[in-house]
Amino acid sequence: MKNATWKIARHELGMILREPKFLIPFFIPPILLIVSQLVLLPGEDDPWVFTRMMLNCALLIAPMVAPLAADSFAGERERGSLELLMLLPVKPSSIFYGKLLALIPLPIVFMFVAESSYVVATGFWDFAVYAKSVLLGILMSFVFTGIALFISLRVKTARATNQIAHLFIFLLLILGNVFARAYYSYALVPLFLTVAVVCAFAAVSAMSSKTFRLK
Amino acid sequence: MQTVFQFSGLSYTYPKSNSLALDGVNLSLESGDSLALLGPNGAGKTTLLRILCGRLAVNSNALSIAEEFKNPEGTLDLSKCGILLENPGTYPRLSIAEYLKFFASFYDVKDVDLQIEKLAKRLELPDVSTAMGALSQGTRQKVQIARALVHRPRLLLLDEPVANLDPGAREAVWELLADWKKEDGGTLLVSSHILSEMEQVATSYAILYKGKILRSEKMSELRTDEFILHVQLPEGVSPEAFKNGFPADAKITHVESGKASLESVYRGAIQAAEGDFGK
Repeated sequence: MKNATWKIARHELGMILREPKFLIPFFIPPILLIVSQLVLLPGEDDPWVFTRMMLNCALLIAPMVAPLAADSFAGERERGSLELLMLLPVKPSSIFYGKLLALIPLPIVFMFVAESSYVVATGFWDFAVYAKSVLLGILMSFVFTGIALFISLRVKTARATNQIAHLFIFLLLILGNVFARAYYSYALVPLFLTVAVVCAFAAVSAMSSKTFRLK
Repeated sequence: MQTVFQFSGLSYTYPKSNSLALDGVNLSLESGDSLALLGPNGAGKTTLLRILCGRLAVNSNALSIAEEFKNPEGTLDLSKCGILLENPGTYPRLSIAEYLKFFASFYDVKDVDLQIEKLAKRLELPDVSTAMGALSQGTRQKVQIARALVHRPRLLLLDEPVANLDPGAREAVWELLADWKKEDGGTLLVSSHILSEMEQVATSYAILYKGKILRSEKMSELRTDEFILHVQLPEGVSPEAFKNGFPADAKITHVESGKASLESVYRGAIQAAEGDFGK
C-alpha cells in the first residue's frame, strides 16, 4: 500500500517536472515583487514594507499550486488516464495520497527559494520575519492544495478547477493583509494558524479521498 | 470448467438517468473461454465491463465472481486482470517503455524489459523510446493492448481493442491473444464490432441491445432455420424447374443443417429487437 503511494507520487512528480509550463507561475510572484521593490521603492528602509513584501510573496506563491492540483485529478479525468490508475490493483486512497504527496513539495521548495531570493536581492534580513513568512507560505500551500483538490474532484474540467480555485486568491490576499500585523507581532498566532491549517487540511484530504474512492 | 463470473438479473441505472443502462442481464463466462460481447453503440457493453471491473457499484447478488478472481472485498481481483476500456488516456511525455514499465510496476512482473520487448515485436510497435505523444492513434491503441498484457493476466477484459487498427495490425492482435490463451490458459471477454473476426476469435458470444441480452450461446451452436438440401433431379429436368415449385420426381439425397454466420445472427437479432422495441 505504502509502496503504491510512493510509486504514484514519484510518477506524478515526474509528470509535473516534465511539463515546465506548470512551474512558470511559481517564478512570477517573486520576480515581480523583487523588481517592483527595487524599481519603485529604491532606498526604502521601513522594515514593515519589507515584511509586507515577504508576506505577499508567500501569499502569492501558494495559489500557484492550483493548476497542478487541477491537472492531477480533473485534468487526468478529462484525458481518460485517471481511470487507468483506478483499474490498477491498488487502493484508491493510495492513488489519492500519492498525487497529494507529489503536489505538496513544489510550492514549499519555491517558497524557500522566493523568500531567500528576496532577502538576497533587497538585503533585508530579519530571521523572525523570514521564518514566519516561510511558515505562512507553507501553510497557505496546504490551504490552496486542499482547496484545489476539493474542487478538482467535484468539477469536470481542469479549467473550471483553476477558475474556481483562483477566486480564493483575493480572499487570501485580503485576509493576509488585514491580519498581517497580528501574525508578525504575536508568537502564538502562527502556532494557532498552523494547528488550524493542519486540522483543516487533514479533514479536507480525508473527505476528498472518500469522494475520490466513490468517483 | 470453472465459472469466472456470473451476472444474474443485473440491472443498472446511471445516476441522474431515468432509463436502465442494463436490464436484467444474465451472463456468465467459463474459465478458458473467449466471450464476444456484441451490440450496437450504447447497448451497454462498456457499462457491463465497468461493473465487472468494480468501477460501477451494483447489488452484490447480481454479480458472482469465482474465488480465484475475487479480492477480499468481494470484487474482481484486478491484479489478475488485464483491462482495456474505451478511450484510455496516455501520458504523452512518457516513452512507450516508461509507460509500460510504470503500469507493470504495480504487478509482479518478472523481467519486464524482456516482456516489453516481446510485446513490442509482436505488435510491431515503433522503438520503445518513442514518446507516447508522438504516436498515431492506432499505435497508441497497440500500446494499450501491450499494457493490458504486460503482466500476463489470467483474465483479459477488452473493450473494442482493435477499433483503430488496420487489418494487418488487427491480425497481429488476435494472434497475440490466441498465443496468450494457449500459453497462460487465459480467459477473454472482448467487445468488438468486427463480427467476422469475433466469429474466429471467440468461443461464445452475447448480443446486447438497449441493456438486454438478446442472445447468448456458444459459437459452435450458431445455427440457422435454413437447411441445405442436396437434390437429385430426374433426367431432363433442369434446376430452372424449381421456379415452378419442387419438381415432382426430384429426390432429396442429403439434408444439411445450415451454420449461420455470426453476422447474420447478429443482424437478425437486432432487427427483431428493433421491431419489438418499435411496437
